[in-house]
Amino acid sequence: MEKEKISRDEILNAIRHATDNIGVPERPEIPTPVGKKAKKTLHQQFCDMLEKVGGETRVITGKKTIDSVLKEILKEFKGETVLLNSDPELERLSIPEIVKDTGIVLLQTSEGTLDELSKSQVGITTAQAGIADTGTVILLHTGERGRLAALLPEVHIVLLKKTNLHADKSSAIAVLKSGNVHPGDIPMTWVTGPSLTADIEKVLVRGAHGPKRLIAILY
Amino acid sequence: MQSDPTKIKSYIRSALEDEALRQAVKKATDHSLTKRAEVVAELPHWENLRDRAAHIRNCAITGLEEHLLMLEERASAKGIEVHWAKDAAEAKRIVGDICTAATRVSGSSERPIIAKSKSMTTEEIGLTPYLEGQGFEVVETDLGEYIVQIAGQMPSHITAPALHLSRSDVGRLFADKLGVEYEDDPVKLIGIARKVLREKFMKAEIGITGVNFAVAESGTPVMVENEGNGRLVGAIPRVQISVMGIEKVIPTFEDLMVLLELLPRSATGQRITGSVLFFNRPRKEGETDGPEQMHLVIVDNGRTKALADPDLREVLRCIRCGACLNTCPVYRQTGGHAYGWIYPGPIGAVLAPIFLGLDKAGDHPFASSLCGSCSEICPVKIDLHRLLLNLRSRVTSEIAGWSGERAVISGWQSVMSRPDLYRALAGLPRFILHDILQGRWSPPLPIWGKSRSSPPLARSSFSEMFLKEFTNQEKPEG
Repeated sequence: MEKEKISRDEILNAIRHATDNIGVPERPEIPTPVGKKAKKTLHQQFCDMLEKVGGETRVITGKKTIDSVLKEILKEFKGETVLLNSDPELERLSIPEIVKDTGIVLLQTSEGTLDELSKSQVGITTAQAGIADTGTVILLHTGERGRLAALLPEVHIVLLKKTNLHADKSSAIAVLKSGNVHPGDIPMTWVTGPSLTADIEKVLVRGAHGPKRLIAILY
Repeated sequence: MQSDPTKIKSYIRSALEDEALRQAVKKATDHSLTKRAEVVAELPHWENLRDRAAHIRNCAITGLEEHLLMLEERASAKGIEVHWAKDAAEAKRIVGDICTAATRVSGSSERPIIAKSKSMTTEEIGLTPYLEGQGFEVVETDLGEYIVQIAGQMPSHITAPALHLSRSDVGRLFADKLGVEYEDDPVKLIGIARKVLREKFMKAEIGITGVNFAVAESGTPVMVENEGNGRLVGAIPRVQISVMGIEKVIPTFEDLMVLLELLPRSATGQRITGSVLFFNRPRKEGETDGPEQMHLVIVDNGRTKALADPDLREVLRCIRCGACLNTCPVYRQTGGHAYGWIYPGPIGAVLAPIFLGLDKAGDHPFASSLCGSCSEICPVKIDLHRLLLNLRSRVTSEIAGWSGERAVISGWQSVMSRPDLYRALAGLPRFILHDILQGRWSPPLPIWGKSRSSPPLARSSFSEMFLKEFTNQEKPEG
């Protein structure tokens, strides 16, 4: 520790010494970019961009309720286990009940061992915000809203409120900063599409380490 | 494993003879450049973004002390333990001590597993072999990095470590090292690796990550990745250690947003990476996952040398996208291993002499055609080819053994500034070649000549021909 303290001071001294004659760089004349006016709604944009990177999307409108859409998706996972965070928003949307209705085994992330969690085929989480121009969901990990339900299973179903969609990264950060949680205070993951690799001959393969499928439900 | 930066010349020679390697590198770099061009074209204000990014990185570097102190203060306040390392040896010792302390408690008899996500800085300091020597099992979890790890090689590209290997190379490697049946379908190969690595993740006690950016205002190490391995490293192990170079700090989240626009596009031709991870704080009571202990190791290892050098300082703007490698006509022919060092391509050829010294890496700035393509593509506008030129002049003026070249150059200078002398001497080789040797010989050009053929000298010089033609012509009227 003592030695580290010395190194810290030496590094900082070297930096001070190296930079004390440099003035603050002058800000170059940079025109404000003329943003293209988006013709589509944010959720249309979000869906387009997410689909471009291999994600799937469902939009809740009129007769299509969360209940019916989710049941439709879960049909093919009969007999499997679904991983859920204990998340008040999931409770509010009665997701645990909907899942139970379909005859699927439900496992709360707080209740299983790591091995048990990793055997689930589907994870359902909420996203706290989204970015339309990249098709990104923003996951804030607080309380029991952990990382694993969105990560261990091969299929991640994420529920995102349309009203929590932002046009781009900067506006998302601005909104998060103005809210009651600073984006620098809570562990946060931005996820865009299923997990990918192109490490063998640049061939795009889905489901490298994380989910092979990402299904976003916008409500 | 070839990894001696002083042997760059001989490595390049053998790389040039390796047809399969050159095919693989060409295919991969072409692919990256095409994808990059597509997503860059979507942004009409790309040049504007580059200017902004260069400015952000300049500000980050000129105010480095202030930003690092703020990073330290804010990260510590959130429970992230901050460490400082002057050089590679100290960084390794710090990480090793954290790992030893963390696993002593668990008291298992098996070698404790460390899951690593890809990080150039940890490659630079040689962390993995060190930790293996300390009795840990270190698993590289980025698939490309895992492939080169089990092949006993080092990465050949900053963002695509196994770019030099073909699918059949990987198939043979997996069959050999993992005892699976030979397979050359990338989907199946990735499936095999996923399974092997998932088991390692489940048992990993420590996670080590790199840092793409560290946001000072909130003390946040940020990492980008695509495979989900970084997410697993940040979710499962009890202890997380993130290693960063001092120059990775940026002041604010707003700055980060600009850089996040440029980095994925330049690196992999993506609009955004599959995940962006904000390692904001350790796990709190009642939370279900994430590290209980977080460490941030800030490493100098030669960077303050670059900072103190007004001519080279701008190299610290680099955000390690690897685009300059993809576009470099030298890298595209040789691949990354030919450089004998962890940072190849134009950026590596600038960093090598700074980090390793002119004596060890004096040849690196010469592995360039100075075409300027690297400077053109750089998302933070580092004038790479000018830095290479600057380093070349240092090599020629500072390194002993170049006095012969200096004599030749000064002789050349005096001949070139005297037309009569030039004409007399320039005629001499033609006279010898054509009149004495009858054209049966071409001049031996030692280094230059080895990989090039020299065309035969013309019978007469341009000025002779010009004068002859001109005097033969009728004079124009008037």
